[in-house]
Amino acid sequence: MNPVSRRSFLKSSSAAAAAVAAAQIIPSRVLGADAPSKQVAFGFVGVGGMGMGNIERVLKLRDKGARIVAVCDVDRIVAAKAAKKVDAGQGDTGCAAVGDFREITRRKDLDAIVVSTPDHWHVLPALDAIRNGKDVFVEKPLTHSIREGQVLVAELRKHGRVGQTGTMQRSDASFRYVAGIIAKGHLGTIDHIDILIPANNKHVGATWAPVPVPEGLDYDFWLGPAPWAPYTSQRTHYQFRYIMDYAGGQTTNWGAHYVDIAQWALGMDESGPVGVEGFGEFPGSGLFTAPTRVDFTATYASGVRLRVRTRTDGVYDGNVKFFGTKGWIDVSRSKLKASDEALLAIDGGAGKGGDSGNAHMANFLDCIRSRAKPVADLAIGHRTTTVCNLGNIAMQLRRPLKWNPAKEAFEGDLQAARMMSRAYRGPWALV
Amino acid sequence: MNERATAGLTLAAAGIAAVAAQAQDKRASSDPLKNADVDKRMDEFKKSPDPWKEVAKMEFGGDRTLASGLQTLIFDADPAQYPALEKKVLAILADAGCTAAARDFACRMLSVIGSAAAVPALAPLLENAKTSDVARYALENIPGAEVDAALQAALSKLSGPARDGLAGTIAARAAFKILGGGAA
Repeated sequence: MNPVSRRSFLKSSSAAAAAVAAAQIIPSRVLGADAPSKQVAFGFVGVGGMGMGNIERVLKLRDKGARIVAVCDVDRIVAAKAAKKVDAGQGDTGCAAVGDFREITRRKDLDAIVVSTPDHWHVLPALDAIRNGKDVFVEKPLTHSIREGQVLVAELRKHGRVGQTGTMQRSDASFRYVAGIIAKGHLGTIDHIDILIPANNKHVGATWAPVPVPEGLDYDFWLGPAPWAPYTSQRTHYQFRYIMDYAGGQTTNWGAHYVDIAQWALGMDESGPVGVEGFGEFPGSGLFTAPTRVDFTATYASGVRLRVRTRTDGVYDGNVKFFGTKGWIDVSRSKLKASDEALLAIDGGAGKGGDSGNAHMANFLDCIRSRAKPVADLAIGHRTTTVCNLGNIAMQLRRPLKWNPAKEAFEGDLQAARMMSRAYRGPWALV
Repeated sequence: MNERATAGLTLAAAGIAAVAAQAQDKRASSDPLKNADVDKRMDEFKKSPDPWKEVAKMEFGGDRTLASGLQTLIFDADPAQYPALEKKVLAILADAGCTAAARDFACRMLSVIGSAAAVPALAPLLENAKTSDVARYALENIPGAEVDAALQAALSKLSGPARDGLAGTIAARAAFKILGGGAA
């Protein structure tokens, strides 16, 4: 990292924009955040693919008082592109583009931060935002390690902030319907749950070559808390998710969505399983290290077994199928099926609903004003991500593991406990 | 045994030897090791690499098949085998030709199975700003007062990002005991 050069960039890029923005934005906390007429000022950290999608969602909330004031990305070209998009959407030139998230999380005139970075960078900006009085929307999977989730939730509560996890299936009509009827007992007693998640959609060879860092990318900052490694083109944008130093593969990428629905339906939003075992396959060589085949089973105290596997039919979506004493129900983003049609028509059925991503962001904005817990409060996201991380740990150790969801601790397996977190590269620190 | 029987056995033995020699000749005609004696040929077969030594030469981006095999071996091991495996991992760090990638691999393994026995090898790495981060990757998760002492001792020898990272590790070890989970 070269702090001097980055700081000079930050100053030059943000100072002018901040001056424009300051004239237009009065932080909502000054005027009372609960007043719908008051603007809520957003900052964005990480504005690649997911970040751009989230920008579009916040832009759609302009009539509800949302305004984007600044965006941040360690890829200067990506940040500039995002700021341009915001300006076009808001009809002015007020959006600042910066490269260091602290230039956003520590601004006094912001109310909320949206974190859409690669997974290994979710927690640090979110923590800094929370500690500086901001509400946070953090993309899924919420954290890279179990310890990160524990610290993040503790700090959220300590500082009394609102935190939404980006698991937008919580705001989808079909998933909400399924979780609701199961919780009400319409499927009887749940026996087991099968989840299929997509296979990896990117591939690499057995070896790779370091290449020069592209212009505009602050690669050292991109690595951040992760172990140092030379740059290569498949390491960063999108494909970071297949490298365990930065993410948990499809286990956490898609598991965060579908395990979340299972946790919801089981009433385990702030709890989890009591055991996990798995036998996945990991690449023996090459840049990617995340499992190419996921297969783990989490067992709950009730006896319910939740099995998560990689699907083999090439469909890039997951599904979750609940088996109860009164039948089964199977839900994905495109389908809702059941053993009996009557299970699909309870209280009028699921309905169509709107775009779940937009509804999810709107719920966050509503909660910023009301100070209520969002539908995917960070504690919920943490518990879901924990199940996914437990699966990855079990698949690596290839032995049954006991988990105490109340203490959030492994029982009788020191090696598993040691895989609950990773040391950060300096200067970064979790606590 | 009478003379006739003895002579018969001698002839039989000679016949077997002749057949064997003929067979060897036939084999040798298409064999790049023709004329090599049996011992040398066996030596060729014995040249399979020792992964514990080869892995010390691994480079970022190179084939990491041997390292992956060792990782599976380590993660699958019974805890009673950890001390012996830890010695083998420490031998990677002690190898004069140990690369940065090999050091990274060894520290990842020690983060899971390492003990206080690893501290003497990791402490010098911890105190060097260039290798401090990777040493902490192992040390942060290794239980024991020896580790805490090494971390504290390194505080006065580091500055800048390396020292900030070290302070983070010390804080994390303390906090994770509060949070529970078998920690550090």
